[in-house]
Amino acid sequence: MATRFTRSRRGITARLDAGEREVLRSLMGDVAAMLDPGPSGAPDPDGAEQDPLELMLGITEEAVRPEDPALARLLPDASRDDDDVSAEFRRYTEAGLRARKSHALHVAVATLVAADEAEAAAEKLAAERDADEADDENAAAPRGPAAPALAIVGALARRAGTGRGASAASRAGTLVLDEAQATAWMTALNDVRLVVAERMGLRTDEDATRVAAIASRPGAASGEEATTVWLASVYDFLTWLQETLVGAVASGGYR
Amino acid sequence: MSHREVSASAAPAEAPVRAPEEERAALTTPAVPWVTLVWNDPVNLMSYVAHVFRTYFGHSRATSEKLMRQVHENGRAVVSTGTREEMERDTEAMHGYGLWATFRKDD
Repeated sequence: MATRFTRSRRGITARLDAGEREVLRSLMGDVAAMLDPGPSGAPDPDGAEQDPLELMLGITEEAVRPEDPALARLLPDASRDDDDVSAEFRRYTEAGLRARKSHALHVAVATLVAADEAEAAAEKLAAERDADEADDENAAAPRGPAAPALAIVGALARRAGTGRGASAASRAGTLVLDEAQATAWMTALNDVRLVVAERMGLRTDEDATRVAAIASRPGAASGEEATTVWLASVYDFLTWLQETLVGAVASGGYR
Repeated sequence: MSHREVSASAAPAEAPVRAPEEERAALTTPAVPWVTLVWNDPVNLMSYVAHVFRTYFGHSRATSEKLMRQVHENGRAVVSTGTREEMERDTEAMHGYGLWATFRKDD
């Protein structure tokens, strides 16, 4: 169960369990893949080589409004009433926009991977300590009366979930972000929310209320309905996480 | 932007290097300014939108929240005014934050 993002001396932190991290990583990876323009750097329907100078300047020769409405939400038209203006804007900005969004998503994924690795390392350490303590108990007698007593205290505390092993393992599930990573997380979470919302057909404030109601509905759904409920609850989770992240970042003040 | 810097450095030594603030503003404000609009959507959080206005435009908390409420209640708000080039830059930045922004010539 996640805890909200808060600001501490260590940075901007939140606790996320392994399942929550997995969902976030997979969604962020999906959105990054959507934004990937392909190996050529730009989609080119004619198959012709793009001018290398244009590639360098981030100019996309054939930038058109994406057919996928979710991708179009990430890369919207810049003009409401002039398609030529939108097309020209896209030509000059889309490649850079895709790259920046994708970068933010990859930064966020990297912090989730780091949290996974820290947790795995802490679990390994806790397991080793358990093994060591078992050895200590066997070899305790020659070392005098103090050692076994300590080992017993450790074992009792561990069983109660309050020992050093337990606290190290739960601390490892903590995501610790610096300011730049927190900024990347904010845009990454927002882009994932935009895509999930579009996939659910969430386009008006009324839709948002409907989705919130679905998310709070108790389980026991099946088939297509189960998918809808799952998506709605994921969206609800993302919204909550984003809200607490904005709060934690804002609490640091503005320059 | 850049032509202003060039003319300042090319000014004769006896001439004032910088014109008073109002005069410079009058000289550089285009006759027909362009505007950047941000449109309401049900996904972007109100706190996030206000945060973006504060971070990117450097607005005060009160101004950022006022602009955010305008977006939310009126469906859109003009968030910046200036040359077309500046509005293109602001629109691109808003898209980077995931906000739905457009630019156009002011009526």
